[in-house]
Amino acid sequence: MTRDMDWSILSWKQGLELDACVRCGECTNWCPVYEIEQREEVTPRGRSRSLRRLRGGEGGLLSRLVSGPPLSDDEFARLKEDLYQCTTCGQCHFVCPTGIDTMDLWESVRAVFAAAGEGPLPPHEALYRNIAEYDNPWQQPRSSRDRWAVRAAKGKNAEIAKVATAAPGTSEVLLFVGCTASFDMNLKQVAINTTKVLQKAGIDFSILGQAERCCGSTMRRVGMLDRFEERAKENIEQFNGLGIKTLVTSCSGCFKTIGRDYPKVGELDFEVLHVSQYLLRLLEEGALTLDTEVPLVVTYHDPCHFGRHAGVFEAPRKVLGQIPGLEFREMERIKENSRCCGAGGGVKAAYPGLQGSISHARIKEAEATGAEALVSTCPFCYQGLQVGMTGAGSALRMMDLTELVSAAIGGTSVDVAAAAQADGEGAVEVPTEVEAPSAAPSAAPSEAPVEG
Amino acid sequence: MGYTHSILFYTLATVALIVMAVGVAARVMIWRQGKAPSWHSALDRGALARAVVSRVLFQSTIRRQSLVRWAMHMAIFWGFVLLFVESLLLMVLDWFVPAGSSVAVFFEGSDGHALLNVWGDVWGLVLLAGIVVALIRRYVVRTAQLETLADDAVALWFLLGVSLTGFAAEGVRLAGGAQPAAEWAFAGAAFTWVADLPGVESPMTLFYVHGLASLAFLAYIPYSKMVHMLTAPIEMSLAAATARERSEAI
Repeated sequence: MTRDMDWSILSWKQGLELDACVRCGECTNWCPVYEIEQREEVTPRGRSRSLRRLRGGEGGLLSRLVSGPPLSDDEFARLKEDLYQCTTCGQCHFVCPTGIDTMDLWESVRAVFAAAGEGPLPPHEALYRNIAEYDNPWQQPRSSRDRWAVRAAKGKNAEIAKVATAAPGTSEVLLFVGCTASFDMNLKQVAINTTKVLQKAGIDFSILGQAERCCGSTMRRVGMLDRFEERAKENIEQFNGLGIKTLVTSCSGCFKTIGRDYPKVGELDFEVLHVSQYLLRLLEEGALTLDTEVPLVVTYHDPCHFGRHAGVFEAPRKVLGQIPGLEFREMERIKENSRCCGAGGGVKAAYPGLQGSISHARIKEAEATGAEALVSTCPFCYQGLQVGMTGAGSALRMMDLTELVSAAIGGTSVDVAAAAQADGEGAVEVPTEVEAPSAAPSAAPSEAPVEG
Repeated sequence: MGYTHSILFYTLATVALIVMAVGVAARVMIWRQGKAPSWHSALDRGALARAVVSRVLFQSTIRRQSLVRWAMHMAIFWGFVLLFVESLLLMVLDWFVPAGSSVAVFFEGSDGHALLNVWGDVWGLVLLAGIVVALIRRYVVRTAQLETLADDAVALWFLLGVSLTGFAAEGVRLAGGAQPAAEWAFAGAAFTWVADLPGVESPMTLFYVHGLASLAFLAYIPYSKMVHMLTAPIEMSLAAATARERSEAI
């Protein structure tokens, strides 16, 4: 069978990378998917071999001589699935003795498959349709994107002051809330807590409100490169037009996408910081003081797209270190070797069972520290890890860093938050229950996006 | 020099190098199908240089993961490289160094022979030790992370064959009569018994067996997993040179 694979989508270096695997198998010791699946084909080593055979099999005799026998149709079909059974966590890059840049490689190979009509998988296509139609993968109307801010600022018991909507020259700091924290009821508190803290620090900032659009991470991760680049260009134009100096993201996936992927598409006229980096800056500059005791034992999960993909490991730890009364304990696998939550790379959307198993392993590791709460800096990991907590029947509490910081400025009672979680108050507004979608995706929104 | 110049050998060497070059060219043509930019900002040349020393020459990444694997791979890497250097030196002496020059006189004398004998035996043993550890890991300990396909097996047994025929050739040469500085060929001396085997009476027989095995191995490199001998150092160096772009600590 002839397959119309356009290998020009790769770089020459990525072509070389497929030939640079020494077959040592170190990746098999670390790959979170292999840990569950126990199949050679899902390992970076196995995928590299299959891809070499696929690529070489399309050429002449010499090409086949150096690449091995061509893939059969059955093997090709399996490779397509195996390619998307990868969380793109990047662990393999860090343990590979050759240092193969697998983080970009797998996404680029997915782009080759997508361009040939061989990818992504149907659940990912559904997510793309949602983003195209609603500007978010959750199938939520644009009009509800800033509902969290409106509601939280309303009434006598308002949690926050009204937040300005960004316009050219409005403010120097833009808070890019992201789709998950904007729409998921469990995670709207991330946006609210961030707002509380920034307002306490006296920061003049704004949000895009209903004009905020998905960063496009989903498209990039599953290989929809053209569509991602269209989205990135639109967003870059919007951001640059605001005249901001700093864009702060709530989500690690948005941070990686805007901060690391966008500059390959167009020039950014501003710096991109994750909220934990921005909070650390405020703390170090003295603009923010944490003076309320938070008597809690916590451990921290490094989101793959914040840590391995973007190289930020210390900022969240330093912020945690400044919270009075907090006891911080590290898990066994941290930083470059942090275990993935399993949600990224489209796995949560296409293989929810696999995601749950990977997440379960991370929860067990967190529990082993004796911590009461598992803290992360990514709403998408938050969702993914909660799946593991439920599966494990864990007594751990999932928390975002901003919740702890908010508590440390006296803005939130951690106990109240815990109670809310325990009685299910936090889960009342699941996105599917808010607005009926025009085209139902194959994955429920809580299982949908692809960041991580 | 113990070995005589041989037009046949160098003809075969040329054929082997052509086969190798064709294989490398086939790989490069496949890589060149890729048209996307390989990196988006300037390469960090300092990081690249450091990576060549640390990651390529001293293989620091493997050392952090397993001392046994590191020692094994260092032995195979440096054993192979330094024996290859000795072979190149012999070729240069054969073809390019004028007879009677001080260099030729040195290597024809007992000091030169002693140096070459020690060099060859020491690095030959280092290579052999690395191969034996690799075989033990793969076939005795059966390390879980190793998957053994035909390519993995052929590469390892091939390398073992090249190594053992090298010692056997030296043993036969030593058994053939008085050799300058023969006492320095301590490892080859253990293989003089090979000369008693049927069909290897002539020192040239095993010289050709070893020479052809070595040439065949070179030709085999781009058609097998051994291509990593070429690709891995490039990738290691470029990974370090582009690490800043990926925001990784260098």
